[in-house]
Amino acid sequence: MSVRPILAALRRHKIAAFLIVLEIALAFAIVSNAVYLVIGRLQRVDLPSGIDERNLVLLQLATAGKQNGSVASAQTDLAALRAIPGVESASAINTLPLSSSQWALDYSLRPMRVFSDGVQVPVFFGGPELLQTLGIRVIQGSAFQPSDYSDLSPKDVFKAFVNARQALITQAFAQRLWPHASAVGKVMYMGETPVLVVGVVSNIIRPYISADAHDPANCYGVISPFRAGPDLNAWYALRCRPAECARVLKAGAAKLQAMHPTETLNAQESFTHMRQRYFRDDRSMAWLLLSTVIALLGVTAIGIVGLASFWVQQRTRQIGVRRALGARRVDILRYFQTENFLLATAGIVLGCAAAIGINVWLMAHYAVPRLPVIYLPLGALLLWGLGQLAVLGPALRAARVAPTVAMRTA
Amino acid sequence: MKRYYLQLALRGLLRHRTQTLLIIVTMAIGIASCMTAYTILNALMADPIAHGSRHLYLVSMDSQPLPKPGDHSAVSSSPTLLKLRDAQALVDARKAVRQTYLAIADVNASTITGGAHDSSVLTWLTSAQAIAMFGIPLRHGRTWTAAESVARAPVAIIDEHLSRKLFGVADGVGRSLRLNGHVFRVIGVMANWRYRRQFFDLEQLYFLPGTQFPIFLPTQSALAASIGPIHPGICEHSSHAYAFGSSKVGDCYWLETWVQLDTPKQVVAYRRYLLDYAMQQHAAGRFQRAPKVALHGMNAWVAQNNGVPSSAPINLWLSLAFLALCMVNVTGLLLARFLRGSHEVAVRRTLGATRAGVFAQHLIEAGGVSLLGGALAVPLTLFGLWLVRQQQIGYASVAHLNLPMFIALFAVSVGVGLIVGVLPAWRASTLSPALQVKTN
Repeated sequence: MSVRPILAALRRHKIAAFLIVLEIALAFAIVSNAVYLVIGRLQRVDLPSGIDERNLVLLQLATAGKQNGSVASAQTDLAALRAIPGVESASAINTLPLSSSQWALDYSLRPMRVFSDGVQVPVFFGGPELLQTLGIRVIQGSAFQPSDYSDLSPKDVFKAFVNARQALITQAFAQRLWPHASAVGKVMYMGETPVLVVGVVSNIIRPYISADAHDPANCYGVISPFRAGPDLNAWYALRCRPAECARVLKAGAAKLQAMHPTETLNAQESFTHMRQRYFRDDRSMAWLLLSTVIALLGVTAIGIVGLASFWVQQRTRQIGVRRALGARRVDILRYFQTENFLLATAGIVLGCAAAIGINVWLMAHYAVPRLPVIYLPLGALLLWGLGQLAVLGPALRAARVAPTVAMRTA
Repeated sequence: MKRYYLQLALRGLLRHRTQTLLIIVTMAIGIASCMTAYTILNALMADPIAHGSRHLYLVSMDSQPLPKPGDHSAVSSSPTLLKLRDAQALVDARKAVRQTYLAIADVNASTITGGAHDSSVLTWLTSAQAIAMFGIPLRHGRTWTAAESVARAPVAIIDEHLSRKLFGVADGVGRSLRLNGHVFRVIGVMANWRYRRQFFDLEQLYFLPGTQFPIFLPTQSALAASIGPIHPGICEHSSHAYAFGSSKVGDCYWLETWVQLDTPKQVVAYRRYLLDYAMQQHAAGRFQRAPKVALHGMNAWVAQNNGVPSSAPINLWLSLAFLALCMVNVTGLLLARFLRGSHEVAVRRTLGATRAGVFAQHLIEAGGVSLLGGALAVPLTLFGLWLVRQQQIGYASVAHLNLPMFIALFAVSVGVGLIVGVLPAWRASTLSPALQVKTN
């Protein structure tokens, strides 16, 4: 199929051709950026938490700040919960990945007089069973000795909490502090308090994570040698045998309620459920963006159909003449398809520039990461496909024009 | 003449029904998506408080000590935080229209018998004028007096929600409650107040939108009952232990001071007063650093420290781009439509219609279509906002359409209609009549 007659014909319809090119360029620029934003959201949703999340259920008593939620009573509760068949391990933990409730302190390599000058890191604590319950591995060094643990109560929590002298830190945080050496045996500072790193553990993510899924700070964490009770809002985390979690959750809730008839349960859910709750906004956002993208592609298609139909109608006679002179149906079909391909290509080239421009602008203003190059060819394929699909109807109609039309006057 | 054009436009609309519908729908979707995003963004950028924040200023005064020699860690300077002594001095001086200081605490509240309780209730430690200054509706009772504050009277203002929870009635005035074990008397009940955007304590604590602060206490009375701020800020002489929640905060920088100044003159005068105060303290050796004061307008302060969630402006930009695409699309459809009628135009031109007349007629048709698009956009926008409210996004509750938005929507749709109509109308009016009549 020769391109020259198509270009000649397009030159006669500058405005309409320009509008189609503009439409495709706009659609390309918007769709590539919007889809990238959607993927960014979805990547957050899929971020691994680093704990054995599928086999974890959570219970929380609403006894924060009261007398009867001490570590001692937590030990009684935990012993009862461990007796439930299907429970492999149980621990009372101050906070969990993606729980939206963070205990955090600032750590630094040097002593700090001002407390907020280091790297802000969430602090997890919950007795010797914490590692096993959450499925956290010790990679270097060792876990705490049983004698290292002390109890926290609401009365002295902040004083004791900031004075922990030992810590396990996550791999990501170890790398942040000591990129070239092993962290085990090193000392970091919380304010002016020296803290000895006794071991490095596998990464777990924070109670709150940042907008960028790839931010290494998402995996910064410190584990302190404390035991906590429900009076500090601790969660009872139960690691259950696979397939028994639903039953364990129900039995655990019933048991706790029976042991504390006057208290209410703040929470009883699986970790998977908590995770879903945490990422609700991201999923909603992704869904909203995605529906906009679909509407946008629909509108683009409508525009192409509209203008192509108009052209077909306008050129009915011309098509008839070509048919009378021996052009086959498929030639007419190809003509409109090629024409659309050329317009789409022009639009895509223009759109590439716009897409990159928009991304650069978004990066400057809204901390959006750089658009990966792969989005451009994928977007191009999408719009070529869309263009061909949209033009197919009008082109088929054009191909059906009978040669006799050429003989009519109007 | 105009009427004739209107008639022609109407006839045109009815003749190509499918196409008309397509144009209207495309336009409506574009406008509606834009208006939805704009309404949300607008609500998010609203005044932090309903009462009007333009006369409220945050006091900034550098009263912190110089770093100790040999201390390499940089002192993070938050000159908006003051010691109680200085904040109290500013409030007692009454140099502004209204003035108050505040900090956040976290208390356990219960009835005297402990029958009903609420743990971890967020509490404002503040001074008497806070209620009036921030426009918080007081439903029952009164706020505390200066004398009560000086006497450290155990009085509290709580909101209706907490009153119901503890006492079972909305009007809990006169009842007593325990806060961290200490007995306080309720002297006022406020409405369940929500600020629209957080404006206080932005440098220290960030609260999720919609967080409520159901208890207001006189700062002095709270400290007397060992209720201290969640975050005591930087403290002198007590570097070894950070006293979270401690009431021994005499050496700490922990209070924000807000003032109401109604005229630019008052602002200048107050700044002058602040500088005088800082210079006095500097001369007396209390402020070690060179006197430095500032007043931050509430809106600017909030914009600087509590940005709108970044997804909201991105959505607006996306919607604007979407509207642009819809407009290009409608332009194309209108062009096709007008050129299809070029035969008719040619006849009219030959019969003496002017170019301007043809242009006007087409513009009116375009305007009419877009007005219809705008009308359809109203239910679509409402639907869009409803859809956003169904999503469980943190800020979804603010998504409501109001009258100014509604008017803006119509202005936008007519504007859009005229813009998209110009090109096709111009193209139609420049068709050469003779050629058209001849070829057809």
